[in-house]
Amino acid sequence: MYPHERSLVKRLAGKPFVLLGINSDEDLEKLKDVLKEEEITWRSWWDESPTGPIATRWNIASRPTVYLLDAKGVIRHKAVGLAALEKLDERIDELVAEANAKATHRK
Amino acid sequence: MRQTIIASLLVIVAYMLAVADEPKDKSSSAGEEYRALLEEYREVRRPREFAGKFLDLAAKYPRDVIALEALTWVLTNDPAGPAAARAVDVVLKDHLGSGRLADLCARLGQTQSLAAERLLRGVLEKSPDREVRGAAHLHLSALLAHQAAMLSSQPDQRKRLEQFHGPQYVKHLAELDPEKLSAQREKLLEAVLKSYADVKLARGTAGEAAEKELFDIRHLSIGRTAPEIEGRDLDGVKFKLSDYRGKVVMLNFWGDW
Repeated sequence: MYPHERSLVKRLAGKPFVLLGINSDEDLEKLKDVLKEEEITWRSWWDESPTGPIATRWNIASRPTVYLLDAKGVIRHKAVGLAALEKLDERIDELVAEANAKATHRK
Repeated sequence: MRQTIIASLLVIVAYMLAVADEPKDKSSSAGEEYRALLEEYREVRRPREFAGKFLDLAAKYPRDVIALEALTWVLTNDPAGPAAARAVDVVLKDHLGSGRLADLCARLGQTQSLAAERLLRGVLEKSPDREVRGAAHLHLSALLAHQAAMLSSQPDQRKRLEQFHGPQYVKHLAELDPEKLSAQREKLLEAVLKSYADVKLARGTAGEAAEKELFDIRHLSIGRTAPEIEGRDLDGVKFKLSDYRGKVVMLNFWGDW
């Protein structure tokens, strides 16, 4: 998962795209070591446990669960489990292209 | 005199034996037959072949709890077969009053078949037991949610779907409209909130479960605006999701474990 995310963040740098995490780990110090080791530069909310307030509100049953939101904040895609993440890049590129097209149109 | 006493004693003893033995013997033989059939099935594992046998067992002991077990077996092991359709009829005819139907509804809510849907709809309308009706509402909504998820499945998945659930079911899916499924689920869940909110489930109440599902449909589905997220990052700095409007956001629920 981490290598995929790292390459995604690198590839889409400067584009209207952001990767945000909601982290469920209980041990924050241990987690900070992982951030360093794995070069995790993207931002996460700390939800403090697998049943933290954000995960509970979002009815998260398993991890990883990924939502893609368009530039207006509308949910456009949902993927649960590692296998479902395979087609994610394509969907992200579509949404980024859509956001770019709308931004150009406004100018 | 002595003969009369012995004779009456014999009658009394015989009667006691009969009274004590009759129901026990009956249910244990139903149970034994059920277990024997299960054993036999485990040797070959061909559900279609055995569904009819379980159906016959249920017909043989219509008033025994084992009958409902046997019918559950049919509906969960060979949901697309001809026995499943018959099993639905038998449940609705012989077991409609059973409080145990709540369990059956829960199991069928996790399955995919025309039989399961028909059973849940029948129970929801006709069960005299309020708790069972409440459960049927919730689990029918769960079944419809599975159908909606199946609608967006890929062609290769569709092939497997057809193998497992039968061509009739896949054809049924093709005719469904995701918007209408959502609307139907909302109606079912609103009915739960209105009339069955206090019904107890294995975990929590029917009302709590319905609230969660309604939130899912109204705020966490494709096409809906994502709920706001506010909190602190791993360095303790406050931030919120709406800070990132104008960008495509990939939200990843993750943990390092």
